[in-house]
Amino acid sequence: MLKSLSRRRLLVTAASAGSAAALGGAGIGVLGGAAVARTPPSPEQDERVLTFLLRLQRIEHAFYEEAARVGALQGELAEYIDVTRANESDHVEALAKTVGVESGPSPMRFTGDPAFQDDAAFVAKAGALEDAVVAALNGQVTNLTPDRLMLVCGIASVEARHAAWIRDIGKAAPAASAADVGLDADAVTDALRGQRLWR
Amino acid sequence: MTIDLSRIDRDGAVREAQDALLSRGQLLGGALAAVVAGLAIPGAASAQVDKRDASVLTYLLSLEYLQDAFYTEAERLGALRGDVSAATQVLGRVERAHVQAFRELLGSAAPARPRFDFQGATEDELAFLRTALALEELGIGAYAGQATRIQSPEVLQSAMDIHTVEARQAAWLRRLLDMRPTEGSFDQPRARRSVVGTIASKGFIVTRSEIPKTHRRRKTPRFTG
Repeated sequence: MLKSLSRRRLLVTAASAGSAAALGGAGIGVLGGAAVARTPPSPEQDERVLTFLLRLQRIEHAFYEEAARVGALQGELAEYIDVTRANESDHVEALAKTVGVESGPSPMRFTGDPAFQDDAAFVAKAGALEDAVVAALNGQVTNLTPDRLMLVCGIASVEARHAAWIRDIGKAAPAASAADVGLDADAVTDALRGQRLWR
Repeated sequence: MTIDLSRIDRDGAVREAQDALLSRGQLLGGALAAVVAGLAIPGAASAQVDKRDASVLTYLLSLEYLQDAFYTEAERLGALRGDVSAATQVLGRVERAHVQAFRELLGSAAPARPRFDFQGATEDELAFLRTALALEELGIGAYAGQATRIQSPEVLQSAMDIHTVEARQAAWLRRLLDMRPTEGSFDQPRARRSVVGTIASKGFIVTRSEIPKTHRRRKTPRFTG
């Protein structure tokens, strides 16, 4: 069903016009708002959307859990991991409770990922993950009923803070764009697969 | 009509910042994603904007005017140095892009730009950073507080795409203040009355705004936005 909410065609159009850059392979373009495709929000759609977002949050949580377990990254990265791990755990719990399921395990395991042994590799992967999650959350805001929209809003800005934080650690501009353009589920999962962050 | 980056980024500033981001991203092996600056704001004539949405947009534009003026004045005065100065330029460019986009969307219904008095906060680094952070945190709450009031999906999408940029900016400023970028797992929305009251209490807006006159402190601004 998420595919039916797709704005992918617009993204591809924007990318082909040269107005998009890569986000792990997914184009992010300047979108004409009038073409925002959507199905009117409903409780059933809420459940589908939140289930998708819960899966993303579980992946994020598992990523930081593994980084903390390995324990090779020190200093400000260790603090970043500690804080974001706790935030993602809360996000998982809130979304799972809203959907009415158990928090449950991540669909992915990151055991042996070399990113947890190297500062630059970790920053790159965490940055890609956080940017993609911000785009994913923003990409669903028009699909949700008001209560669920407020939950997602409260999470999205925290994820954006994570994205800015890890970018700053990596000496990349934390907030250089005028907008965090939302992406549909297909574009997000494509981007994350390219980074081995989705399965 | 669609508002795109080339129209709202007339001085090329956001694009320049994006280029810088891409350049710095190379330090990360190019794997850190770069998000293109772009606003998904429909360029509909103001007459086509729902009356309730126009009210929300006018309110949010007032906030953007304030942020824009604050950073622009800091840039013009040139009292800030180093990383803070560099951040100010990027933050100002982004806020100017937001103002431009909202003004184009509202058309003739866009409110006039108020005049401001920042009471020296743009001339001292610590005062600047603390004030900037307060404005950005206010922006996060303000955008979230309007999310369920917006009628048009297109306007909602645009507002939320900006909402997370405000959060990135707040995190950046927190880093510059040597503060942790997040304070909790969930940011909270703020009601319009609360936001307007907070701004009014600072006395930054001195003319032509929706802030009640009784809250204004000075008639003559030291600087104008």
